[in-house]
Amino acid sequence: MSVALTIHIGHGYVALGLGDYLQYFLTPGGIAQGAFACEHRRPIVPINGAGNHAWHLITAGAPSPNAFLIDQGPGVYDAYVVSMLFAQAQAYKLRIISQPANLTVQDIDFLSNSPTDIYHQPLMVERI
Amino acid sequence: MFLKQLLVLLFIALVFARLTPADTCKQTSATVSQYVNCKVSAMAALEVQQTDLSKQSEANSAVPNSTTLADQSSGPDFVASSLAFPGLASKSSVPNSTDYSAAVSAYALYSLLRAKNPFDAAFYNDNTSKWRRFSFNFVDSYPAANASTISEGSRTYGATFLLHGSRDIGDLSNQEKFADLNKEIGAASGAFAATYHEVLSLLFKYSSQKEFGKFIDAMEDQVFFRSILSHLTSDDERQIERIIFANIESQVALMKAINGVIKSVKHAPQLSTIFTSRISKGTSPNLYRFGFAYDTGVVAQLNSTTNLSYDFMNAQLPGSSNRHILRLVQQFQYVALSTLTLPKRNIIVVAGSGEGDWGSNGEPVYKANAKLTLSAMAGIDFPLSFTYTSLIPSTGKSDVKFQAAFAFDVSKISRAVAH
Repeated sequence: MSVALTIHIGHGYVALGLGDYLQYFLTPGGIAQGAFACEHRRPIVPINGAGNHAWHLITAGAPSPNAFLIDQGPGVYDAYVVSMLFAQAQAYKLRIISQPANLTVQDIDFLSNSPTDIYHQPLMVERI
Repeated sequence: MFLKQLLVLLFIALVFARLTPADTCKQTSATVSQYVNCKVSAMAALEVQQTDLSKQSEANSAVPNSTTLADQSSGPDFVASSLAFPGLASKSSVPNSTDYSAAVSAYALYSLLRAKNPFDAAFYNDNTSKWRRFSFNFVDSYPAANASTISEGSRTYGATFLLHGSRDIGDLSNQEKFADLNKEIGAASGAFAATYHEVLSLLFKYSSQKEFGKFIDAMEDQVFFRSILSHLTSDDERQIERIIFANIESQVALMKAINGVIKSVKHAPQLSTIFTSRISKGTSPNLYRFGFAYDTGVVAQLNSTTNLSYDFMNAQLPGSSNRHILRLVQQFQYVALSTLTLPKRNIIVVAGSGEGDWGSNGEPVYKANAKLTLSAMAGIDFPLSFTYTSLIPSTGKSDVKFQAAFAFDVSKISRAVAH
Protein backbone atom coordinates (compact mmCIF):
# COMPACT_ATOMS: atom_id res chain seq x y z
CA MET A 1 0.00 0.00 0.00
CA SER A 2 1.56 3.26 -1.03
CA VAL A 3 -1.09 5.77 0.06
CA ALA A 4 0.50 8.70 1.91
CA LEU A 5 -1.63 10.48 4.51
CA THR A 6 -1.32 14.02 5.79
CA ILE A 7 -3.49 14.18 8.87
CA HIS A 8 -4.45 17.70 9.92
CA ILE A 9 -7.17 16.47 12.27
CA GLY A 10 -7.78 12.75 12.72
CA HIS A 11 -10.25 11.66 15.36
CA GLY A 12 -11.31 8.03 15.27
CA TYR A 13 -14.57 8.38 17.15
CA VAL A 14 -17.46 10.80 17.36
CA ALA A 15 -20.58 10.79 19.54
CA LEU A 16 -23.75 12.24 18.07
CA GLY A 17 -26.74 13.37 20.09
CA LEU A 18 -30.22 13.30 18.64
CA GLY A 19 -30.38 16.03 15.99
CA ASP A 20 -26.61 16.18 15.53
CA TYR A 21 -25.22 15.34 12.13
CA LEU A 22 -21.93 14.89 10.27
CA GLN A 23 -21.01 16.80 7.11
CA TYR A 24 -18.73 14.92 4.72
CA PHE A 25 -16.70 16.75 2.06
CA LEU A 26 -14.57 14.76 -0.38
CA THR A 27 -12.43 16.60 -2.90
CA PRO A 28 -10.59 14.43 -5.45
CA GLY A 29 -7.49 15.34 -7.42
CA GLY A 30 -8.85 13.68 -10.56
CA ILE A 31 -11.96 11.55 -10.98
CA ALA A 32 -13.30 10.28 -7.66
CA GLN A 33 -14.32 6.67 -7.29
CA GLY A 34 -15.24 5.05 -4.03
CA ALA A 35 -18.04 4.47 -1.58
CA PHE A 36 -19.49 5.54 1.74
CA ALA A 37 -20.52 2.50 3.76
CA CYS A 38 -21.07 1.18 7.26
CA GLU A 39 -21.00 -2.29 8.74
CA HIS A 40 -24.58 -3.02 7.69
CA ARG A 41 -25.07 -1.02 4.48
CA ARG A 42 -22.58 -1.91 1.77
CA PRO A 43 -22.58 0.75 0.41
CA ILE A 44 -24.73 3.57 1.72
CA VAL A 45 -23.85 5.51 -1.41
CA PRO A 46 -21.31 5.06 -4.22
CA ILE A 47 -18.99 7.95 -5.01
CA ASN A 48 -18.27 8.61 -8.67
CA GLY A 49 -17.15 11.48 -10.84
CA ALA A 50 -14.95 14.55 -10.97
CA GLY A 51 -15.61 17.59 -8.78
CA ASN A 52 -16.44 17.86 -5.07
CA HIS A 53 -18.69 15.37 -3.28
CA ALA A 54 -20.66 16.25 -0.16
CA TRP A 55 -23.21 14.39 1.97
CA HIS A 56 -24.63 14.29 5.50
CA LEU A 57 -24.97 11.54 8.08
CA ILE A 58 -27.99 12.53 10.14
CA THR A 59 -29.52 11.28 13.40
CA ALA A 60 -33.00 12.67 12.86
CA GLY A 61 -35.23 13.89 10.07
CA ALA A 62 -36.01 12.53 6.66
CA PRO A 63 -33.26 11.04 4.52
CA SER A 64 -32.62 12.47 1.06
CA PRO A 65 -30.22 11.67 -1.82
CA ASN A 66 -27.46 13.50 0.08
CA ALA A 67 -28.54 12.85 3.68
CA PHE A 68 -28.39 9.37 5.18
CA LEU A 69 -29.95 8.38 8.43
CA ILE A 70 -27.72 6.70 11.01
CA ASP A 71 -28.93 3.11 11.38
CA GLN A 72 -28.01 2.30 14.97
CA GLY A 73 -29.77 3.32 18.13
CA PRO A 74 -28.26 4.92 21.24
CA GLY A 75 -25.21 3.28 22.77
CA VAL A 76 -24.31 1.18 19.71
CA TYR A 77 -21.01 1.71 17.93
CA ASP A 78 -21.01 1.55 14.13
CA ALA A 79 -17.99 2.07 11.86
CA TYR A 80 -18.60 4.34 8.88
CA VAL A 81 -16.02 4.15 6.11
CA VAL A 82 -15.14 6.35 3.16
CA SER A 83 -13.38 4.16 0.59
CA MET A 84 -11.26 5.76 -2.10
CA LEU A 85 -9.76 4.27 -5.28
CA PHE A 86 -6.74 5.85 -6.86
CA ALA A 87 -7.22 4.47 -10.36
CA GLN A 88 -8.38 7.79 -11.75
CA ALA A 89 -7.46 10.19 -8.94
CA GLN A 90 -4.01 10.69 -7.45
CA ALA A 91 -5.22 12.54 -4.37
CA TYR A 92 -8.22 13.12 -2.13
CA LYS A 93 -9.02 15.56 0.63
CA LEU A 94 -11.59 14.37 3.19
CA ARG A 95 -13.19 16.67 5.76
CA ILE A 96 -15.79 15.51 8.27
CA ILE A 97 -17.45 18.17 10.44
CA SER A 98 -19.75 17.51 13.37
CA GLN A 99 -22.73 19.85 13.44
CA PRO A 100 -24.19 21.91 14.97
CA ALA A 101 -21.05 22.15 17.15
CA ASN A 102 -19.04 22.89 13.96
CA LEU A 103 -16.15 20.70 15.15
CA THR A 104 -13.84 19.18 12.58
CA VAL A 105 -13.60 15.45 13.27
CA GLN A 106 -11.30 14.54 10.38
CA ASP A 107 -9.30 16.64 7.92
CA ILE A 108 -6.99 14.34 5.98
CA ASP A 109 -5.17 14.47 2.65
CA PHE A 110 -4.51 11.19 0.80
CA LEU A 111 -1.95 10.83 -1.96
CA SER A 112 -1.00 7.80 -4.06
CA ASN A 113 1.01 7.21 -7.22
CA SER A 114 -0.33 3.69 -7.77
CA PRO A 115 -3.56 3.26 -9.75
CA THR A 116 -4.29 -0.03 -7.99
CA ASP A 117 -4.35 1.51 -4.50
CA ILE A 118 -7.45 1.55 -2.32
CA TYR A 119 -7.82 3.32 1.02
CA HIS A 120 -10.61 2.89 3.54
CA GLN A 121 -10.92 5.78 6.01
CA PRO A 122 -13.01 4.76 9.02
CA LEU A 123 -14.81 6.75 11.70
CA MET A 124 -16.54 5.07 14.62
CA VAL A 125 -19.87 6.71 15.30
CA GLU A 126 -21.99 6.32 18.44
CA ARG A 127 -25.49 7.68 18.85
CA ILE A 128 -25.82 8.93 22.41
CA MET B 1 30.15 -18.77 -13.92
CA PHE B 2 26.88 -17.10 -14.85
CA LEU B 3 24.94 -19.78 -12.99
CA LYS B 4 27.06 -19.24 -9.89
CA GLN B 5 26.33 -15.52 -10.04
CA LEU B 6 22.63 -16.26 -10.27
CA LEU B 7 22.81 -18.62 -7.32
CA VAL B 8 24.58 -15.88 -5.34
CA LEU B 9 21.73 -13.59 -6.37
CA LEU B 10 19.27 -16.22 -5.17
CA PHE B 11 20.99 -16.32 -1.81
CA ILE B 12 20.95 -12.53 -1.54
CA ALA B 13 17.28 -12.62 -2.45
CA LEU B 14 16.54 -14.98 0.41
CA VAL B 15 18.44 -12.69 2.79
CA PHE B 16 16.56 -9.68 1.47
CA ALA B 17 13.29 -11.52 1.58
CA ARG B 18 12.79 -11.20 5.30
CA LEU B 19 10.63 -8.11 5.04
CA THR B 20 7.39 -8.12 3.17
CA PRO B 21 4.41 -5.77 3.02
CA ALA B 22 2.50 -8.01 5.43
CA ASP B 23 5.26 -7.64 8.00
CA THR B 24 5.97 -3.94 7.72
CA CYS B 25 2.53 -2.71 8.79
CA LYS B 26 3.50 -2.49 12.45
CA GLN B 27 6.50 -0.36 11.60
CA THR B 28 4.94 1.89 9.01
CA SER B 29 1.50 2.58 10.48
CA ALA B 30 1.02 5.52 12.80
CA THR B 31 -2.64 4.88 13.64
CA VAL B 32 -4.97 1.93 13.92
CA SER B 33 -6.88 2.87 10.75
CA GLN B 34 -3.61 2.94 8.79
CA TYR B 35 -2.61 -0.37 10.40
CA VAL B 36 -5.84 -2.15 9.44
CA ASN B 37 -5.66 -0.66 5.93
CA CYS B 38 -2.07 -1.85 5.59
CA LYS B 39 -2.85 -5.39 6.79
CA VAL B 40 -5.97 -5.74 4.64
CA SER B 41 -4.20 -4.44 1.56
CA ALA B 42 -1.10 -6.59 2.12
CA MET B 43 -3.11 -9.78 2.71
CA ALA B 44 -5.31 -9.21 -0.33
CA ALA B 45 -2.27 -8.38 -2.49
CA LEU B 46 -0.52 -11.51 -1.22
CA GLU B 47 -3.38 -13.66 -2.45
CA VAL B 48 -3.41 -11.99 -5.88
CA GLN B 49 0.37 -12.35 -6.27
CA GLN B 50 0.61 -15.90 -4.95
CA THR B 51 -2.02 -17.29 -7.31
CA ASP B 52 -0.94 -15.62 -10.58
CA LEU B 53 -0.62 -18.29 -13.30
CA SER B 54 1.22 -16.15 -15.84
CA LYS B 55 4.59 -16.20 -14.06
CA GLN B 56 7.03 -18.91 -15.08
CA SER B 57 9.42 -20.61 -12.67
CA GLU B 58 10.13 -23.77 -14.71
CA ALA B 59 12.98 -24.11 -17.20
CA ASN B 60 11.97 -22.67 -20.57
CA SER B 61 10.57 -24.80 -23.36
CA ALA B 62 13.78 -24.85 -25.43
CA VAL B 63 15.50 -27.08 -22.87
CA PRO B 64 15.44 -30.70 -24.12
CA ASN B 65 13.80 -32.06 -20.97
CA SER B 66 11.70 -29.07 -20.02
CA THR B 67 8.47 -29.83 -18.19
CA THR B 68 6.59 -27.33 -20.33
CA LEU B 69 5.84 -26.89 -24.01
CA ALA B 70 4.63 -23.31 -23.59
CA ASP B 71 6.50 -20.37 -22.12
CA GLN B 72 4.48 -17.95 -20.00
CA SER B 73 4.32 -14.28 -20.90
CA SER B 74 6.14 -13.14 -17.77
CA GLY B 75 9.01 -14.29 -15.63
CA PRO B 76 9.23 -14.11 -11.86
CA ASP B 77 8.81 -10.85 -9.94
CA PHE B 78 12.30 -11.37 -8.61
CA VAL B 79 14.18 -14.68 -8.96
CA ALA B 80 13.08 -18.22 -9.80
CA SER B 81 14.96 -21.45 -10.20
CA SER B 82 14.29 -25.06 -11.11
CA LEU B 83 16.07 -28.40 -10.93
CA ALA B 84 15.43 -31.53 -12.99
CA PHE B 85 17.32 -34.74 -12.38
CA PRO B 86 17.62 -37.87 -14.54
CA GLY B 87 16.11 -39.85 -11.68
CA LEU B 88 12.96 -37.80 -12.02
CA ALA B 89 12.44 -38.87 -15.64
CA SER B 90 11.38 -41.99 -17.44
CA LYS B 91 13.65 -43.69 -19.96
CA SER B 92 12.84 -42.82 -23.54
CA SER B 93 14.56 -42.00 -26.81
CA VAL B 94 15.06 -38.44 -25.52
CA PRO B 95 18.16 -38.76 -23.32
CA ASN B 96 17.76 -37.79 -19.69
CA SER B 97 19.72 -34.90 -18.29
CA THR B 98 20.29 -32.84 -15.20
CA ASP B 99 18.99 -29.31 -15.78
CA TYR B 100 19.63 -26.32 -13.54
CA SER B 101 17.69 -23.22 -14.42
CA ALA B 102 17.60 -19.72 -13.01
CA ALA B 103 15.49 -16.75 -14.02
CA VAL B 104 15.91 -13.23 -12.79
CA SER B 105 13.88 -10.12 -13.48
CA ALA B 106 15.38 -6.75 -14.31
CA TYR B 107 13.58 -5.57 -11.16
CA ALA B 108 15.84 -7.83 -9.08
CA LEU B 109 18.93 -6.23 -10.59
CA TYR B 110 17.42 -2.77 -10.24
CA SER B 111 16.61 -3.30 -6.55
CA LEU B 112 20.12 -4.59 -5.90
CA LEU B 113 21.55 -1.58 -7.74
CA ARG B 114 19.42 0.75 -5.64
CA ALA B 115 20.19 -1.29 -2.47
CA LYS B 116 16.45 -1.56 -1.81
CA ASN B 117 14.40 -4.39 -0.40
CA PRO B 118 12.50 -5.63 -3.49
CA PHE B 119 9.55 -6.70 -1.34
CA ASP B 120 9.12 -3.34 0.34
CA ALA B 121 5.64 -2.20 -0.68
CA ALA B 122 6.68 1.41 -1.19
CA PHE B 123 9.55 0.44 -3.51
CA TYR B 124 7.48 -2.26 -5.25
CA ASN B 125 4.81 0.31 -6.10
CA ASP B 126 7.19 3.19 -6.81
CA ASN B 127 6.84 3.08 -10.59
CA THR B 128 9.04 -0.03 -10.71
CA SER B 129 6.63 -2.33 -12.57
CA LYS B 130 8.43 -1.63 -15.86
CA TRP B 131 11.48 -3.41 -14.45
CA ARG B 132 9.35 -6.53 -13.84
CA ARG B 133 8.47 -6.69 -17.53
CA PHE B 134 11.95 -7.87 -18.47
CA SER B 135 13.45 -11.12 -17.29
CA PHE B 136 16.43 -13.27 -18.20
CA ASN B 137 16.80 -16.98 -17.82
CA PHE B 138 19.61 -19.45 -18.05
CA VAL B 139 19.65 -23.24 -18.07
CA ASP B 140 22.68 -25.50 -17.82
CA SER B 141 21.98 -29.02 -18.99
CA TYR B 142 24.22 -32.05 -18.34
CA PRO B 143 23.59 -35.40 -19.99
CA ALA B 144 22.92 -38.38 -17.76
CA ALA B 145 25.10 -40.63 -19.92
CA ASN B 146 28.28 -39.63 -21.71
CA ALA B 147 27.26 -41.52 -24.80
CA SER B 148 23.95 -39.71 -25.08
CA THR B 149 22.98 -38.10 -28.33
CA ILE B 150 22.79 -34.67 -26.74
CA SER B 151 26.53 -34.97 -26.60
CA GLU B 152 28.02 -32.77 -23.89
CA GLY B 153 24.72 -31.14 -22.92
CA SER B 154 23.79 -27.56 -23.62
CA ARG B 155 23.44 -24.07 -22.22
CA THR B 156 20.24 -22.17 -22.86
CA TYR B 157 19.97 -18.41 -22.60
CA GLY B 158 16.66 -16.63 -22.78
CA ALA B 159 15.01 -13.27 -22.36
CA THR B 160 11.34 -12.32 -22.03
CA PHE B 161 9.96 -8.88 -22.49
CA LEU B 162 6.34 -8.19 -21.63
CA LEU B 163 4.83 -5.81 -24.18
CA HIS B 164 1.95 -3.59 -23.10
CA GLY B 165 -0.71 -1.31 -24.49
CA SER B 166 -0.53 2.43 -24.21
CA ARG B 167 -4.14 3.35 -23.41
CA ASP B 168 -4.81 6.12 -20.95
CA ILE B 169 -6.84 5.02 -17.90
CA GLY B 170 -8.65 8.36 -17.96
CA ASP B 171 -9.88 7.77 -21.49
CA LEU B 172 -13.67 8.09 -21.78
CA SER B 173 -13.90 4.71 -23.50
CA ASN B 174 -12.66 3.10 -20.28
CA GLN B 175 -15.09 4.77 -17.89
CA GLU B 176 -17.62 1.94 -18.12
CA LYS B 177 -15.01 -0.52 -16.97
CA PHE B 178 -14.41 1.55 -13.84
CA ALA B 179 -18.15 1.95 -13.23
CA ASP B 180 -18.37 -1.84 -13.04
CA LEU B 181 -16.26 -1.69 -9.87
CA ASN B 182 -18.97 0.08 -7.85
CA LYS B 183 -20.55 -3.11 -6.51
CA GLU B 184 -17.19 -4.46 -5.34
CA ILE B 185 -16.24 -1.14 -3.73
CA GLY B 186 -19.43 -1.04 -1.68
CA ALA B 187 -18.97 -4.60 -0.43
CA ALA B 188 -15.30 -4.04 0.41
CA SER B 189 -16.05 -0.77 2.17
CA GLY B 190 -18.66 -2.35 4.42
CA ALA B 191 -16.44 -5.38 5.10
CA PHE B 192 -13.63 -3.03 6.11
CA ALA B 193 -15.97 -1.28 8.56
CA ALA B 194 -16.72 -4.65 10.18
CA THR B 195 -13.01 -5.62 10.23
CA TYR B 196 -12.02 -2.29 11.79
CA HIS B 197 -14.65 -2.69 14.53
CA GLU B 198 -13.64 -6.27 15.33
CA VAL B 199 -9.90 -5.47 15.45
CA LEU B 200 -10.56 -2.55 17.79
CA SER B 201 -12.70 -4.77 20.01
CA LEU B 202 -9.83 -7.29 20.18
CA LEU B 203 -7.24 -4.64 21.08
CA PHE B 204 -9.47 -3.00 23.67
CA LYS B 205 -8.35 -5.54 26.30
CA TYR B 206 -4.94 -3.85 26.45
CA SER B 207 -6.36 -0.38 26.97
CA SER B 208 -6.05 1.55 30.20
CA GLN B 209 -8.85 3.71 28.79
CA LYS B 210 -12.02 1.83 29.72
CA GLU B 211 -14.45 3.79 27.55
CA PHE B 212 -14.56 2.19 24.11
CA GLY B 213 -15.21 5.47 22.27
CA LYS B 214 -12.30 7.26 23.93
CA PHE B 215 -10.10 4.21 23.32
CA ILE B 216 -10.92 4.33 19.59
CA ASP B 217 -10.13 8.02 19.46
CA ALA B 218 -6.86 7.44 21.29
CA MET B 219 -5.94 4.71 18.80
CA GLU B 220 -5.59 7.41 16.16
CA ASP B 221 -2.80 8.88 18.28
CA GLN B 222 0.59 7.44 17.34
CA VAL B 223 2.00 7.16 20.87
CA PHE B 224 -1.08 5.43 22.29
CA PHE B 225 -1.39 3.18 19.23
CA ARG B 226 2.28 2.11 19.57
CA SER B 227 1.83 1.35 23.26
CA ILE B 228 -1.12 -0.92 22.46
CA LEU B 229 0.82 -2.58 19.63
CA SER B 230 3.68 -3.33 22.00
CA HIS B 231 1.33 -5.66 23.91
CA LEU B 232 0.45 -7.70 20.84
CA THR B 233 1.32 -11.36 21.11
CA SER B 234 1.72 -13.67 18.14
CA ASP B 235 -1.67 -15.16 19.07
CA ASP B 236 -3.19 -11.68 18.85
CA GLU B 237 -1.64 -11.16 15.43
CA ARG B 238 -3.02 -14.47 14.27
CA GLN B 239 -6.43 -13.50 15.67
CA ILE B 240 -6.25 -10.18 13.76
CA GLU B 241 -5.37 -12.08 10.61
CA ARG B 242 -8.30 -14.42 11.20
CA ILE B 243 -10.61 -11.41 11.53
CA ILE B 244 -9.24 -9.92 8.32
CA PHE B 245 -9.39 -13.26 6.56
CA ALA B 246 -13.05 -13.72 7.51
CA ASN B 247 -13.81 -10.43 5.74
CA ILE B 248 -11.16 -10.66 3.02
CA GLU B 249 -13.29 -12.04 0.20
CA SER B 250 -14.73 -8.69 -0.83
CA GLN B 251 -11.32 -6.99 -0.50
CA VAL B 252 -9.74 -9.61 -2.75
CA ALA B 253 -12.64 -9.32 -5.19
CA LEU B 254 -12.19 -5.56 -5.27
CA MET B 255 -8.42 -5.78 -5.65
CA LYS B 256 -8.78 -8.36 -8.41
CA ALA B 257 -11.44 -6.24 -10.08
CA ILE B 258 -9.23 -3.16 -9.91
CA ASN B 259 -6.24 -5.13 -11.14
CA GLY B 260 -8.45 -6.60 -13.87
CA VAL B 261 -9.63 -3.19 -15.00
CA ILE B 262 -6.18 -1.68 -14.80
CA LYS B 263 -4.75 -4.65 -16.68
CA SER B 264 -7.48 -4.59 -19.30
CA VAL B 265 -6.92 -0.89 -19.84
CA LYS B 266 -3.17 -0.70 -19.59
CA HIS B 267 -1.81 -4.18 -20.26
CA ALA B 268 -4.16 -6.11 -22.47
CA PRO B 269 -3.34 -8.22 -24.34
CA GLN B 270 -0.48 -9.62 -22.24
CA LEU B 271 1.91 -10.20 -25.04
CA SER B 272 5.62 -10.91 -24.71
CA THR B 273 8.50 -11.30 -27.04
CA ILE B 274 10.75 -14.22 -26.27
CA PHE B 275 14.27 -14.87 -27.42
CA THR B 276 16.03 -18.12 -26.59
CA SER B 277 19.28 -19.64 -27.75
CA ARG B 278 20.29 -23.17 -26.85
CA ILE B 279 23.97 -23.68 -27.46
CA SER B 280 25.24 -27.23 -27.57
CA LYS B 281 28.37 -28.04 -25.61
CA GLY B 282 29.13 -30.66 -28.26
CA THR B 283 27.99 -31.25 -31.80
CA SER B 284 24.21 -31.23 -31.46
CA PRO B 285 22.42 -28.51 -33.44
CA ASN B 286 22.15 -25.11 -31.81
CA LEU B 287 18.66 -23.69 -31.48
CA TYR B 288 17.76 -20.02 -31.86
CA ARG B 289 14.15 -19.16 -31.09
CA PHE B 290 12.36 -15.86 -31.54
CA GLY B 291 8.67 -15.54 -30.91
CA PHE B 292 5.73 -14.32 -28.95
CA ALA B 293 3.90 -15.55 -25.85
CA TYR B 294 0.35 -14.50 -25.15
CA ASP B 295 -1.41 -15.11 -21.82
CA THR B 296 -5.04 -14.50 -21.12
CA GLY B 297 -7.57 -15.59 -18.54
CA VAL B 298 -10.39 -17.59 -20.10
CA VAL B 299 -12.64 -17.88 -17.07
CA ALA B 300 -11.94 -17.46 -13.36
CA GLN B 301 -9.55 -20.39 -12.81
CA LEU B 302 -8.60 -21.15 -16.41
CA ASN B 303 -5.62 -19.53 -18.11
CA SER B 304 -4.67 -19.77 -21.76
CA THR B 305 -1.11 -19.43 -23.08
CA THR B 306 -0.20 -19.30 -26.75
CA ASN B 307 3.32 -19.34 -28.19
CA LEU B 308 4.16 -18.58 -31.80
CA SER B 309 7.82 -18.71 -32.74
CA TYR B 310 10.40 -19.09 -35.45
CA ASP B 311 13.12 -21.62 -34.64
CA PHE B 312 16.43 -21.82 -36.44
CA MET B 313 18.24 -25.13 -35.90
CA ASN B 314 21.86 -24.58 -36.78
CA ALA B 315 23.53 -27.91 -37.65
CA GLN B 316 27.01 -28.44 -36.24
CA LEU B 317 28.07 -31.54 -38.19
CA PRO B 318 29.20 -31.66 -41.83
CA GLY B 319 26.47 -33.13 -44.00
CA SER B 320 23.70 -32.09 -41.63
CA SER B 321 21.16 -29.50 -42.71
CA ASN B 322 19.95 -26.40 -40.97
CA ARG B 323 16.24 -26.26 -40.24
CA HIS B 324 13.78 -23.36 -40.27
CA ILE B 325 10.75 -24.14 -38.14
CA LEU B 326 7.45 -22.46 -37.47
CA ARG B 327 6.27 -23.48 -34.00
CA LEU B 328 2.82 -23.05 -32.50
CA VAL B 329 1.90 -24.05 -28.94
CA GLN B 330 -1.41 -23.78 -27.12
CA GLN B 331 -1.69 -24.47 -23.40
CA PHE B 332 -4.56 -24.30 -20.92
CA GLN B 333 -3.96 -24.24 -17.17
CA TYR B 334 -6.67 -24.87 -14.62
CA VAL B 335 -6.41 -24.34 -10.86
CA ALA B 336 -7.93 -27.55 -9.54
CA LEU B 337 -7.29 -26.91 -5.87
CA SER B 338 -6.19 -23.92 -3.84
CA THR B 339 -5.91 -23.32 -0.10
CA LEU B 340 -8.84 -22.12 1.93
CA THR B 341 -6.61 -20.92 4.73
CA LEU B 342 -3.79 -18.41 4.99
CA PRO B 343 -1.53 -17.90 3.16
CA LYS B 344 -3.63 -18.33 0.00
CA ARG B 345 -1.93 -20.30 -2.79
CA ASN B 346 -2.57 -22.81 -5.55
CA ILE B 347 -2.09 -26.45 -4.50
CA ILE B 348 -2.87 -28.35 -7.70
CA VAL B 349 -2.75 -26.90 -11.20
CA VAL B 350 -3.63 -29.07 -14.18
CA ALA B 351 -2.36 -28.14 -17.65
CA GLY B 352 -2.83 -29.54 -21.11
CA SER B 353 -1.00 -28.36 -24.19
CA GLY B 354 -0.33 -29.16 -27.82
CA GLU B 355 2.50 -28.17 -30.13
CA GLY B 356 3.03 -28.26 -33.86
CA ASP B 357 6.45 -27.78 -35.50
CA TRP B 358 6.51 -27.32 -39.27
CA GLY B 359 9.82 -26.76 -40.95
CA SER B 360 12.29 -27.32 -43.74
CA ASN B 361 14.40 -30.49 -44.09
CA GLY B 362 12.16 -32.68 -41.99
CA GLU B 363 8.71 -34.00 -41.26
CA PRO B 364 6.31 -32.00 -39.07
CA VAL B 365 6.53 -32.84 -35.39
CA TYR B 366 3.50 -32.77 -33.10
CA LYS B 367 3.59 -32.89 -29.31
CA ALA B 368 0.99 -33.25 -26.60
CA ASN B 369 1.66 -32.58 -22.96
CA ALA B 370 -0.29 -33.19 -19.79
CA LYS B 371 1.05 -31.67 -16.62
CA LEU B 372 0.14 -31.78 -12.97
CA THR B 373 1.82 -29.14 -10.82
CA LEU B 374 1.77 -29.84 -7.10
CA SER B 375 2.73 -27.12 -4.69
CA ALA B 376 4.61 -28.18 -1.55
CA MET B 377 4.37 -24.66 -0.18
CA ALA B 378 4.01 -21.20 -1.70
CA GLY B 379 6.70 -20.80 -4.37
CA ILE B 380 7.87 -24.44 -4.26
CA ASP B 381 6.29 -26.45 -7.05
CA PHE B 382 6.70 -29.98 -8.29
CA PRO B 383 5.61 -30.21 -11.93
CA LEU B 384 4.92 -33.73 -13.21
CA SER B 385 4.92 -33.72 -16.98
CA PHE B 386 3.96 -36.37 -19.57
CA THR B 387 4.90 -35.54 -23.15
CA TYR B 388 4.04 -37.42 -26.33
CA THR B 389 6.17 -36.55 -29.36
CA SER B 390 5.05 -37.82 -32.77
CA LEU B 391 8.54 -38.01 -34.21
CA ILE B 392 12.07 -37.93 -32.80
CA PRO B 393 14.22 -37.08 -35.86
CA SER B 394 17.27 -39.03 -34.64
CA THR B 395 15.29 -42.28 -34.23
CA GLY B 396 12.45 -41.76 -36.68
CA LYS B 397 10.01 -42.95 -33.98
CA SER B 398 7.47 -41.46 -31.66
CA ASP B 399 8.23 -41.03 -27.97
CA VAL B 400 6.51 -40.78 -24.61
CA LYS B 401 8.38 -39.27 -21.72
CA PHE B 402 7.71 -38.52 -18.08
CA GLN B 403 9.71 -35.71 -16.49
CA ALA B 404 9.46 -34.13 -13.07
CA ALA B 405 11.30 -31.16 -11.62
CA PHE B 406 11.47 -28.86 -8.64
CA ALA B 407 10.64 -25.20 -9.28
CA PHE B 408 11.21 -22.34 -6.87
CA ASP B 409 9.90 -18.77 -7.01
CA VAL B 410 11.80 -16.70 -4.45
CA SER B 411 9.31 -13.86 -4.28
CA LYS B 412 6.42 -16.21 -3.49
CA ILE B 413 8.51 -18.11 -0.92
CA SER B 414 9.65 -14.95 0.83
CA ARG B 415 6.14 -13.50 1.00
CA ALA B 416 4.81 -16.74 2.49
CA VAL B 417 7.69 -17.24 4.94
CA ALA B 418 7.56 -13.66 6.18
CA HIS B 419 3.80 -13.86 6.46
